[in-house]
Amino acid sequence: MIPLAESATDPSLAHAFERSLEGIRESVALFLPEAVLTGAICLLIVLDLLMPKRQSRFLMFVALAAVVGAGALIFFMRSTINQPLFNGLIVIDTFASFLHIVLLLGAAIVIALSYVYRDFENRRMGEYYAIMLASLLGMFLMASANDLLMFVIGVELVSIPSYILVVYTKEDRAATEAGLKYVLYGSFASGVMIYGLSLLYGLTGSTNLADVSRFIVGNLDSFTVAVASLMAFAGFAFKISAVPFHWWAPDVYQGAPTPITAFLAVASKAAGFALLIRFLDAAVAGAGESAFHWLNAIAVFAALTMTVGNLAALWQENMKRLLAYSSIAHAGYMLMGLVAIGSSSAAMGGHQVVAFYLVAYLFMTLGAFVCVVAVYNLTGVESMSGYRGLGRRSPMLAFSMTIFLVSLIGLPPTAGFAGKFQLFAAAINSGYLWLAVIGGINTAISCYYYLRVMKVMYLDEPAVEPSSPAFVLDAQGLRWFAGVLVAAVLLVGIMVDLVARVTQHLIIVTG
Amino acid sequence: MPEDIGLAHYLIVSALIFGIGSAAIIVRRNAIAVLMGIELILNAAALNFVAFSRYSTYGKLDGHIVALFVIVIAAAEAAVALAIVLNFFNNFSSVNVDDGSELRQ
Repeated sequence: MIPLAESATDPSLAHAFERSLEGIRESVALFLPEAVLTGAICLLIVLDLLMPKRQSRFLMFVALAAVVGAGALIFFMRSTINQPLFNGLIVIDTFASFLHIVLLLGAAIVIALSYVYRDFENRRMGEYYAIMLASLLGMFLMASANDLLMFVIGVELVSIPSYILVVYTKEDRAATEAGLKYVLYGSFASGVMIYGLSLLYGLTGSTNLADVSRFIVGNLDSFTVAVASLMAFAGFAFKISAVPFHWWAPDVYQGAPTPITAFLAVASKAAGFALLIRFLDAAVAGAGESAFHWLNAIAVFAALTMTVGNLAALWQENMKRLLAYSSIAHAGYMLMGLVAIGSSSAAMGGHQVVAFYLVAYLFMTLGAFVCVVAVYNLTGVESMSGYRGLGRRSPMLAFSMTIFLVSLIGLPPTAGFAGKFQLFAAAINSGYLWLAVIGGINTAISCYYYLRVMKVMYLDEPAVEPSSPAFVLDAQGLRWFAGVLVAAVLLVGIMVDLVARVTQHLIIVTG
Repeated sequence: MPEDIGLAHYLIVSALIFGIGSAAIIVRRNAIAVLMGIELILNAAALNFVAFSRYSTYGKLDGHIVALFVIVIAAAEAAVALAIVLNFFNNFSSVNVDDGSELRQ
């Protein structure tokens, strides 16, 4: 950036200023998808003020249109572009565009899920969708961040709206408690991250990620670099709920309204992984063999995260809490794929296998949450007891849930299997056999609690008498909603080649 | 102003502020006090950015600009956090973080 005071007198500085303005002008055209989201946020806030409360839920269609519009723009404008925007503040590359599409898919499903969620009835919903789109905009910036400033803004633009969303049902004591825990843990984690980034800035003298990475690669053994990076990692790890920064996840996932839980579990986590991948790719990928102890640290985090997540999930009775621990475990699996980020021997790099797994994870996790919402809407129960005999009370819901759970375990022919296979292959190819073994043991452990849900659904006696009118649960539209996601899980599982070919084209461009 | 104040002095002050903030977050049970600790951490980071910008990269304002953004973000975060604390007080009649202990297995 240029000091403005001198630009008036110095012709070369004036020229540089002119050039940077030109760069901004060119970038604006490529920034259209984000602009669409921003416009939709403003529109939603204004429309929400004009509309009566009862009709405000129909603003869902405005939010959905914005998401679809942004998706179409990304698909047609950006899918082959690899270039930095705004003088290197953000970078639009195929990796960012892919993540953007994944985030939009997740957001679209969550927006539709919010529309039918029972606790959101008779509530002012326009601002809800506006806040959600604001958080989505932050995730966009996280996925394409190329500057420490953008790291800070992206993370906070995701966090602050999601604090509000967690307490959106504000008279609900559980949601309030979850919100307080989230905001305190979350701002502590992002504060530590910003402090770590300030140290990195001080070491390198630049906020640009390419400059920072050049410095890190040259000083991988420096203690200061390690401390600063570890502090920055605290912020990313909080977002992806990696051990030991996962304490908030079970409480927040359980207390928050279920669509928000799904949003945090999928979109927020995907954005966190995007940021972590950008940072690691810049810092480690160029360093080759000398980055070995950094990758070892990631491997240890991965092993801890999946083990803690799976062991704690074993005795959960609340479905949302169980899925929270399961999502911690899945963060561990994805971290396992990241050890391949610096390796050139693997057929697919760390960021490619994680991008693939994020697609699989998106469909199966959101699918499980759709079933949770369906059961909650009909029975008002989120604990395991509400699922007793679901196989007889609502066969299609129980079947969908079974497919999602099978996919979460990682059995063929589902998306979860395809994704997990690649994660394990990436870890083994990069020489982390021990990590793959731990991952295998963890998958075996996870079978217990996923299969237990199936046992409850199909083998346990229903809590309601079969003769009572409340026995049959008619999930109506949600049944088909879950059905579409079942199809997606199976399709990704069967058409592995196609998704793998798309993810193989993902490259990381920095600078 | 003495001439011999350098980068190290600013870094020591910011490290101290960071330490005090972390201590407040870990030790205090009052949600407002925890929030004050978080604000201290953000201010320590902003001070770092400004000090590094002034002493290590002459003529570039990157650090100053990040510090400005950090200040704005801290304000937004404080507004949302205080609203949530207020809501917590409405539901639990307390701002003690230990009172929020209903979510557990």
